[in-house]
Amino acid sequence: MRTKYIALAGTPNCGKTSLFNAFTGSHQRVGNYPGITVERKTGLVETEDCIIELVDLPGLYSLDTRTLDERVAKNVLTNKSSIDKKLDGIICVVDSTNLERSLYLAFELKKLNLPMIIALNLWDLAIARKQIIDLEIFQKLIGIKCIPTSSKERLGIDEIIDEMTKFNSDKSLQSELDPQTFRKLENIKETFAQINQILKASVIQKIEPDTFTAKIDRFVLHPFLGPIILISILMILFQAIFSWAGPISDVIQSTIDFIAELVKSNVHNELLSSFIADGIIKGAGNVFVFFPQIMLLFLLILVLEDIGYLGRAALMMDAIMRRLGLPGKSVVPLLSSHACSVPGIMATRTIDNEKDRLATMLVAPITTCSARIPVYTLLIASIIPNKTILGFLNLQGFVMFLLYLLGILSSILMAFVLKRTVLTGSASHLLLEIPGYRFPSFKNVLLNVLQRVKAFIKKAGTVILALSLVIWVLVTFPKHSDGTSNIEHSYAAVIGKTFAPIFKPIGFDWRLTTALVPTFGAREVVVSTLGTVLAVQGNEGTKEFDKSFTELVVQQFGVPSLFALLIWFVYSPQCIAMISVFRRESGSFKWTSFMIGYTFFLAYVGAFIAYNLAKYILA
Amino acid sequence: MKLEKVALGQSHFIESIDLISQDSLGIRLLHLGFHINEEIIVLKKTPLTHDALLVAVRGTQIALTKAEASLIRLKTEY
Repeated sequence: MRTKYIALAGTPNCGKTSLFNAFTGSHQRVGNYPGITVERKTGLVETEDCIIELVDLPGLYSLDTRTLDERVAKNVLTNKSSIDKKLDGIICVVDSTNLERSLYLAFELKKLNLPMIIALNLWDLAIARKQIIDLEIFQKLIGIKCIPTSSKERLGIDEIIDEMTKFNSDKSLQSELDPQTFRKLENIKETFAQINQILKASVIQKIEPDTFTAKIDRFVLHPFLGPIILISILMILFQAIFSWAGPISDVIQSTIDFIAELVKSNVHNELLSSFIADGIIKGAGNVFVFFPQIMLLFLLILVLEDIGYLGRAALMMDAIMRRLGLPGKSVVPLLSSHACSVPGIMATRTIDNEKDRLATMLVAPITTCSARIPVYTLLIASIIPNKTILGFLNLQGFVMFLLYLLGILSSILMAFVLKRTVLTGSASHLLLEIPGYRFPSFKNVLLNVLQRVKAFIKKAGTVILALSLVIWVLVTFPKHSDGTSNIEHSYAAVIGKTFAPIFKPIGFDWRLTTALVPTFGAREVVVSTLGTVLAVQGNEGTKEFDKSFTELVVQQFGVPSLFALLIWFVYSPQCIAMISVFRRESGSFKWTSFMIGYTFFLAYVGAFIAYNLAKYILA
Repeated sequence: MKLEKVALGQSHFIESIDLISQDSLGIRLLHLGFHINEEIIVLKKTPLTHDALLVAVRGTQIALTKAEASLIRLKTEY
């Protein structure tokens, strides 16, 4: 059966991805364009005559591109993409509630001489706002078939699929356009004049103003209420990460422990049972235990994006972020980094200025990601008394808050320093379209969340699991002749002892240094490694720590060293998954090395100060 | 008159757009529908600092900084 390759193109906020989901359902594949992490989303639509491979392109306003996302979309549309096939046609998605502006891209795409259909999307919303168009005149004047669509009501979906099967592209007719065509003043003016004429001739009743959006914005963008609403939403995001996801993580952790115990009691070969239970099952547990946090964060961010709030948050934060040298758009990547810096760094691709993007990427790793939570929880439980201060404040919780604050303040300070030293230059533009408020499609949001979580598990999960197995090997081998193993003579200890002199000034002995080695795989692994190093079995849980374990940790390492370790983890050198994403996003080995170097330096200096300060106070 | 100086909610028309000092930004303004004689209304200014504006132009709400707004000059009549 023939396969047709068709692109779905449109401006940002035109409902393109919802339409893509309506066409392809769950038959989607999400990947990246080679060398960069601009998301590449393709899906299959099967018909009686052919299979349609649909590619959902990043949103763009014009073929005169400015951002990385736009350049990727343009390359596919002009058949210059290294991995995409030559297009058989284009579905140009246009926002029916805003034809005045969104038709412009359709006119540019028309110049490519490819078979094309215009999907007049959000048609239901345009009808609700009393817009009446004479479609016959409209499409006759444009010269392209136009089909009203709504993914919510599945309006026009089958009709477009039917039209796509009829696409018959003669690739020899495709135009090789001069890139300057799309930035020539007279061309732009002429196109807009043409759009004005078409709308004048075909619109019977103009669309009513979006009073719903105006009413909500009266509060959301209010000089006093606006910031309060913004802070409340950010607080909810934090709550979601730390409180709501907690019980689910606990259930996952208990299940993993239960399965591991089951294996241990049923597999009688000690080495095999340890490999499966401690290596594979608990290694996989290190991945899945953060699954609820990542999922909730993506869910909330996607809902906020679908509603239309994220652009408003960027607008309100722009002035503050700009004073630090970052654009308002960096709020979302930095916020995402609080769950995991992998998606956080990937989210920076919406920032069009390369230097701003790099600055945001460089500071994202020192915001407090969720992988630090188990480390903080163990160390705080070990060295901070569990008591109430000022009559209402739990001291351990307060210290956790201070660590978060330290992460935020450090990233702000670093952004300030970077933008005034190695990344000088003007800040990127704000110039952002703020969409009207819409009710989110939960089906679409859920589909997108699942895709992102799947991508996260695939990217970070495999590294964490592999590293967990490496640690298991390092702490288990070499074995004595009688089959027993001794941690003090293991390969891990050899590494720890080799590097221990470097870490001595910050209070880390060979055991703590050994525990640091696997943190390059995933920070949270340090907890289980400490447990293994101390030969404490069954206490690797991430939330509840057995009192004897925390007491043992203090007894073995001492408060100053553990305090230094706590500060070390505020800046700690980064995990492999993040480093690989950073390398791909920055496209630079130099900047990747700089990021590793400066976070290591901050961690070392911070731990040195913490260790000596604690020693001085306790003396 | 300068866009950033205009009072909220008042309707004005674009008199000129500076396409020389920041070429790519000027072109993007055109792509977004900022054209001479187009009606423009300042809807909001960011709290406290007033460093960014939200304007309505050609059926769209666009957020832009004061620096970006400084490329656009307005007139009161079409």
